[in-house]
Amino acid sequence: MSENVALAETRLGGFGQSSSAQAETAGRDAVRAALAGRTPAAGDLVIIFPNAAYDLEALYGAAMAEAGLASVVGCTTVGAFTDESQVPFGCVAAFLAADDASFGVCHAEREDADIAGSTRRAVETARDRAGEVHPHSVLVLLCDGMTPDQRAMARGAYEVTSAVIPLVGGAAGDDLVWQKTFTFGEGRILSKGFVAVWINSARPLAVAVDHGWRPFGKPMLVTRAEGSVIHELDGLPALEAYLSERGAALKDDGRSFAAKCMERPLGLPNAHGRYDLRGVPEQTVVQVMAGDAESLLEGAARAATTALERLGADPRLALVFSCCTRVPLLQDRLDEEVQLISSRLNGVPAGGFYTCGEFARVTGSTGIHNSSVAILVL
Amino acid sequence: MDAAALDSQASLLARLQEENAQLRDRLESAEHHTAQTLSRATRLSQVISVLGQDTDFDTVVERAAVEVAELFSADIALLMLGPDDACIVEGQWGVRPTDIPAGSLALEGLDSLTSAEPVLIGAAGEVALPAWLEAYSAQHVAWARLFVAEESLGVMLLVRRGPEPFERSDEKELRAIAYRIALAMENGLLHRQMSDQLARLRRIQEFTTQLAGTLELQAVGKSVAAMLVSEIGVRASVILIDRDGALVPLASHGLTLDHVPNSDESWERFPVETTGKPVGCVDITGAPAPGSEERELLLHLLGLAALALDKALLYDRIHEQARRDSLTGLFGHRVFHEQLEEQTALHVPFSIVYLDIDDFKQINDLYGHQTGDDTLRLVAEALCQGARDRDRVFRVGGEEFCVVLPGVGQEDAYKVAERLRGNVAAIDVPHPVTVSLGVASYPTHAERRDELLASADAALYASKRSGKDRTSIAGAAEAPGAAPADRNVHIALLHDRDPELVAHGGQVAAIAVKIARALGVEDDRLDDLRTAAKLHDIGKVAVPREILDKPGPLDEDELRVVQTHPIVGAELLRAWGFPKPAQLVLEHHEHINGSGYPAGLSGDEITLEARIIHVADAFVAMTLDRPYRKAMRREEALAELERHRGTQFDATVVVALLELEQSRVRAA
Repeated sequence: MSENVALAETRLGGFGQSSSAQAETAGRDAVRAALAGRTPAAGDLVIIFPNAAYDLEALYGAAMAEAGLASVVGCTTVGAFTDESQVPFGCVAAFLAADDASFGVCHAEREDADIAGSTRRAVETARDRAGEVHPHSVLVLLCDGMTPDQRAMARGAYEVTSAVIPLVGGAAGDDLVWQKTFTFGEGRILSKGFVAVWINSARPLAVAVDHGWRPFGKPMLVTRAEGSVIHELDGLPALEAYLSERGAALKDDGRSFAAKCMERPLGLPNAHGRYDLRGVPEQTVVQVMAGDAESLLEGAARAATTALERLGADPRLALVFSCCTRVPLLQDRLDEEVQLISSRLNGVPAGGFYTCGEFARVTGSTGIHNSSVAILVL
Repeated sequence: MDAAALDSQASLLARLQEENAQLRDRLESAEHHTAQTLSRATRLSQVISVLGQDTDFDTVVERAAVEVAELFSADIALLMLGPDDACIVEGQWGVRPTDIPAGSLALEGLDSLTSAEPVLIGAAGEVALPAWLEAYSAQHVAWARLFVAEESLGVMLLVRRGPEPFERSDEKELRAIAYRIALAMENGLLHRQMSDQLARLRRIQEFTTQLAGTLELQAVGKSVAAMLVSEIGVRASVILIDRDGALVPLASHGLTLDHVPNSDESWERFPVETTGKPVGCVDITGAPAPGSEERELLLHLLGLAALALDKALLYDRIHEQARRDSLTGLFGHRVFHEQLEEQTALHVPFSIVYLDIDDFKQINDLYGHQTGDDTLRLVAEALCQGARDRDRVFRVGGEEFCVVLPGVGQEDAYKVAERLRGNVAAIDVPHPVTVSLGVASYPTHAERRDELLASADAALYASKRSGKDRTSIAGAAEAPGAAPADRNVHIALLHDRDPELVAHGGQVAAIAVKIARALGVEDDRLDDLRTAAKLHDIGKVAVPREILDKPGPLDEDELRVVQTHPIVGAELLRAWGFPKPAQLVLEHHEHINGSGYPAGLSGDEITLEARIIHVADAFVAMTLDRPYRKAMRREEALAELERHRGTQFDATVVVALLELEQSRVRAA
């Protein structure tokens, strides 16, 4: 094992990571660490979260070789983590043994003309491949970060999961270059793809999401928007309205409206009196949201607590999908988010990656989130 | 600091902390309340905004379900159209499609949803919920009826699986949103109807264009029959066309053409006519009710169909005429080959009878082309009468016919051929008409079209060679050419009938051979010359005795009959196996200047031996008594020949005869 490999494991599985600059080494060592000496069996699952800058063919090949009979899926990221360490550059791997669960995997190309349809078909395939029926199910979705309409993707998935099966996951990243992200699965790497992993489990599974942002300033009306792009707020150009709302504290430094929103996102009040951070259609009232490291950590802790309540059983492992926009605010307390989640979940191994959009649906919403942290507890 | 002060500060701190906590709770409560208020305040405008983005019905209901679910934090949203006892789920969010029962659904317990109170909310168990949603663990339910101007389009159902109930404050928005959704759905329905109508108009326009460009009758029939089912929605249609006053099925859709409608099927017959002229009719089951819009469209389509069918029928007639021989009405050469090709492709036995009218040229030459045409027509009729219904008779050449006999082997084909021959022989005309026939069978004689045809042709010519007026089967041993004994029999018979003719032939032969020798004709050509000269008038057997024996000059018709004898003679000789003498006989009345008969040949076109026979014949004829004149003396005859030298007779030949005569006189 290389010197920069850490290990955490339970009976269900565990996480491993490698910060090696060598693609093959990073892939192999991260998986090896996650396996922690166990020999994967057919039906087991390995999830990898490498940086996009690697030679991905080499990395994925090495990961698959190390994973043996286990199925290897994953996506590129802007950074990943375990409860033991942050991995801004490297590869994190999660190992999930199929002891009392079954995993159905489908890695598909996105059809931009029919995102919902192509997602629905892939999720159906994943569900069918999971085969064995257990009382508890969840759908994990990892998608290309450049997916033009993540909401359509969630809608397609929802046609299969319905209101009954929770959805969780996140969108891939590429070091915030926003050019090309990749997904892994079924032995191939896709740049416009998505991976659906349908989990059937004999033991309970739980999904929760929270953010820790609070409304700041006056409500504004989205007066013009196209898809996920806001053009106007209160009849003014979006950036102008946004800057005026944030006051003198923020100058127009040439960065785009979207970039600014990563620091202070827009929130939508919902019917339950809470704020969602998600796509905003026209005629929606939004408010600039404010937060600091403390409030974001509180949000992560609430998500973990909610997940534990929903689980109603002893947790064994947590997959965490934390929005990349949280990283600048958490800064040197970045470690604390995943550690807090782990501690609230009785100290189970936790790990995941910094996402470019999160999927999490249990009740109510359509399942698309921004600037939030989503947790799957197994 | 003393203890009291410390206590006081601690107390102050505790109070401040408590106040702070209270303030935070209040703040959170205010935020919560503000968020709810903001959410409620903007729901309606959001829904209106989203619904206004689309007019397509399917998109409207799909978006409406998603948006309403999201705005009301519902896990399930269903939009159902139609009456409560027969509604259909048109849009939904949160339910697996396989969990929704197929067809229309019956909803119960919604009678309280009126235009005055269109919304019903409550906990699951207190408020009605379809049984097929039980597996979804609903906690709270909201129903809203979709009213437009007091008319219920259907209902909207929202379900929350979480613990937070729908609140009374949600009712107003639900009512307003339900109304907006109903309006959007009604607009969507209208849009769908308009789109459907537009699409149908386009299809009808395409159909019309396609019909206008279709000439083939069957294709027009099929298109019309299919269009009535696909566009009007009739159960089945049958197109019948008027053929000589009788209705004949042309095409159908929704059933087979031989389908006999049951008595319990309601069939209606619609006449199809153009400007009062009947084209046919259309039988329809499941036609739309009279007075309905669909009925009007049906009648419109039938009007189009009438024009198209009329045009196709006209084309069919012209096409048919083009394929048929205008004289006999039989199908022609091209159709025959198509039929033969099709028949061969079936790989089942069949036969063809190839036949040719014997000596047809003579009939034309002797009786004129009108008689020839009449003969062709009568032969065609005789053949059609002799053929079975399933047989097909073709005129494949001038006087050649072919009969295709499906499913018939060679022996039966021979019998059919003989029957046809008998039919032809029985034709009641002043001149005798016979045919020679050849039979070939598939696959006995050939498996390919051209080979089969060649076999039948060869058999036909075997019949010709064997004496005509007979039938030969392909591949059978050909009747040999007339044996010498047969020839003698023929000559003997001729002698019995016309002894003078035989004697005359012998004299002509003797002189012709002498002339030929004088002119240096090779010995190996003399036999044929002799035979031809001997039998040069054998064709006169076909000339009535009264014409031959008529005292005095012949009239025009009689002359025409007499002039057939070279042809008949040539045919006889050919049939007996004397092709070369036959040619000489055929030409022996041709004049050197082209004024002779039957072909009007001139100069070198006439074979030398024929020219010799012509001179010899004239010389002998002039020196013999005829019924109409006395014999000339030899000098007079030679002078006559001399006079017509270079015009009627070949000068060289005449000179040769003169020299021979001079030699004979000198020798005497």
